[in-house]
Amino acid sequence: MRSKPPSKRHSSYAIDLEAPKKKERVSPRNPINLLDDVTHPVNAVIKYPSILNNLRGVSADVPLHIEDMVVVRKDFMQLPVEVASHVLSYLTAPDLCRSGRVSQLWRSLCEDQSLWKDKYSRSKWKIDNHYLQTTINHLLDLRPDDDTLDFACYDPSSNQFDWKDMYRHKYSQMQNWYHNRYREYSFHVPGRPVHVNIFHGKFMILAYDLGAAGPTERRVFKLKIYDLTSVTWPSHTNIASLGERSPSKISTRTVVSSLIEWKSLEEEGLVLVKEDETIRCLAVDENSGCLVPRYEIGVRSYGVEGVHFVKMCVEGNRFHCFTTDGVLRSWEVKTGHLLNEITTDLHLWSLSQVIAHGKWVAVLICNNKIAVYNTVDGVSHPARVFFADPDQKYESQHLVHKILISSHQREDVLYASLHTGSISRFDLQSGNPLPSLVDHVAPTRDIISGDSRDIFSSSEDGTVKMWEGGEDSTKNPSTFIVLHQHLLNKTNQKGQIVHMSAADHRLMALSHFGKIKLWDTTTGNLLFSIGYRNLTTAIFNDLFLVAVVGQEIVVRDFRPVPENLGSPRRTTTSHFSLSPPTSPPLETSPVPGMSPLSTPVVIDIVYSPPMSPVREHIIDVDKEHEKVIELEDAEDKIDRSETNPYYANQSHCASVEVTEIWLAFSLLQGVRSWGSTKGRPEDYFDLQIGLFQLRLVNEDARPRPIVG
Amino acid sequence: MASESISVTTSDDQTIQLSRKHAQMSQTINSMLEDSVGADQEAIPLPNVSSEVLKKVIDWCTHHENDPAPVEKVKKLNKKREYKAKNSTISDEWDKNFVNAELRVIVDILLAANYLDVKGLFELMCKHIANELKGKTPDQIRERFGIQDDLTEEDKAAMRKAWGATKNDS
Repeated sequence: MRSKPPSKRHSSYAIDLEAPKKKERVSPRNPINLLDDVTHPVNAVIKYPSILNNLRGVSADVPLHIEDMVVVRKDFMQLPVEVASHVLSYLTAPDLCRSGRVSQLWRSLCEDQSLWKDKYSRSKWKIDNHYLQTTINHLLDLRPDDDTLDFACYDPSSNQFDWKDMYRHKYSQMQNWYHNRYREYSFHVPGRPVHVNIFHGKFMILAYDLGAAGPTERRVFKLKIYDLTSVTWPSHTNIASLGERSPSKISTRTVVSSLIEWKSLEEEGLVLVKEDETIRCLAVDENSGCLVPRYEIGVRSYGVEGVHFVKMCVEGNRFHCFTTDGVLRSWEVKTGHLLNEITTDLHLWSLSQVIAHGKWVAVLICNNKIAVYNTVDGVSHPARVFFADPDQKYESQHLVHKILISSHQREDVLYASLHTGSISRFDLQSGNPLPSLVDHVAPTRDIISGDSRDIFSSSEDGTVKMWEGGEDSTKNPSTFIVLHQHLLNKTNQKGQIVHMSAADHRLMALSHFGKIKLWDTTTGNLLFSIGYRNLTTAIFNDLFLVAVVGQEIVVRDFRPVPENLGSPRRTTTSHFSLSPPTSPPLETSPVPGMSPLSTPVVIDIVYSPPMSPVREHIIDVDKEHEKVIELEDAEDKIDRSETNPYYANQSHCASVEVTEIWLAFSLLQGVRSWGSTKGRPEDYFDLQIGLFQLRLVNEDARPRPIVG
Repeated sequence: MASESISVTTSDDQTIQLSRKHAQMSQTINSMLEDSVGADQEAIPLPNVSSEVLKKVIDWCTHHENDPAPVEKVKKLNKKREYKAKNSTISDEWDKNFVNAELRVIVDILLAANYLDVKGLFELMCKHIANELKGKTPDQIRERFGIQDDLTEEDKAAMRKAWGATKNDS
């Protein structure tokens, strides 16, 4: 439709005027007359009923004064609402909240549910079931299927669901991780911990081995449940450590056995305890945390004599266990009903690794052959057999270190981490090999699946790599350095990463040097790094990090600070003010081989402000005490770039005054978060006060250079 | 093939010539052209765009004429990547200069880009305005954009409380 022929026309077009007429079409200016809207803001409000509806408390008939027109004319939020919300979608959550406080119109735009829903789904955070439970009961049975965060099943238009509040809830939890705000305490258990996990967000389940009374006796295990939220933060919060403090025990159970395996199902709140001839299922009550026996499965009930359960694996709603006669049985987790029985020709000695995913059970045999059983369609023979090295080129006995099955867009893929440094992949449906993941320069060890389709692999080169799932996942993994190469070269040791776990964009890796490192996988920033001597394992969830250090359990509590304690920022800052120690200075050095103040002590201060790359400074501390350690202004160090989505205005204490080196030691005696990173305590050890990580180095053993 | 240049008429009755390539970067003009194959002799009226703004848009199109088409780019990304947080960084140096203009002009270009459906330019303008908002307190935003504060103290207190300790502005 050309309602108004152009007044000026280029002459060269005049001859074409006879050409066929354009078909009638709606001029794009008719439905939304943008120009008019901007010039006359009153029209804009009326023309966009969606804005109007959003304007809670402001009705359209509020007359706008002529003087205001000029002002409103400049208010770009008078843009069409979809344009305005597109602009707002680029803002970070804190910015969005600040913008919401500008005016009523901005408030309605900034509190739009679809905006927050988009933010939440982009964040790839898991749907917080606990949050849902406490807010809306009827949403409880809605669980978005695995990784896709398919929000279609929710009805976000219903006013009952507040995406902003859910985002805020999760965000405030995560902020404490990103900003390293925590309290730490530890307690001692009388036996060697063998299994630890956290259920329902707060109940820590801990199984420990009390040993056997005699050489022929069976070993005694204790299973205890602790309530991690029972430890309250004291009102004087100027110190990160709560010292020895133990959470309240809820229930205890003793298990006597010689051959035992523990499996936890956090989602269901169940623990499976496999003993020689029985598998017991214990439920952890969601409210009280009590251990309730669910069911027992005895091997004798299957009419076989003289066999034991071996190698149990759990995934989803079913668990599987081999017996010594080579039968693979599958049960339903919730009820303990036998689902399937498969007779295999496997021998007990040949089972080096058993894993499960969905209907598949994969067994690693002889380090090269992987047999995969389909437990649903119950065939006696392996559904698939894969050879990690089909050409038999590889001579060594230890080719495959770890196997994993993960789903990619409803396709199940088998991964095998190889001694050659690559990771083989096979499509389980078709049985065809897929392109390998090649980037590690040393043998790959562990391999786990993380948020959505990410795969994490650890290698002896001291790194963990994150592979994006999907078609082009073979290229360009993100690398997280657990152990630095120069350190590995120096010690001639392989960079063994003993454990990895990932949840909600956080990746944790434990090295055999006793170091725990935690990254934010969206930005690649190191959130923190701690070292413990005799570290066995560590787990984390949204609020807690639990490290098993010998017979000691160290808990880092990342719960938000209670309001009456003031803002968390203040408490973080106050970590740095080294108050006089309550205990007298130590007589002897806590570091063997380093005599107090006789040799120059070098303190490397690794200052890791939230969400910025670790920066290292070397500051020499004179043995004649009274030395001020200058830290660069924290404000300048923070990564302010827009790529940092979690950047928030931060100001930190800029200097630490150390008047006496032992003052720091005495303080750290209480902090307890220190340990040698190399197993050779005489070289150096790491300690951490608040955001500062100190490395005390023995000058003689000082590796050069420490920082590049 | 039709003529290599298209003429359009702006809101202030000026006729402006632009090359077909540039014209096709605007989905709006592109669909108009497709609808009227062989009828491109008439100048296309763009009643919502002033000549001043259109010149800016053409400037941008000239600079970005060889960029890969944004539509194809989106298709290539797998689903997971789409979930990644939006990043408002403006990486192109030329773009940084381009957005260095008065707010009024920026808003006009944004509206023109929205109307003409020039995806890249639209994103750029949105990013720029978002960057303007970043790290600013409500007072600073009001001052920058000339907005009247019509919130009551109760509203403000409620909102401040809702977000809790994660923010530290006043």
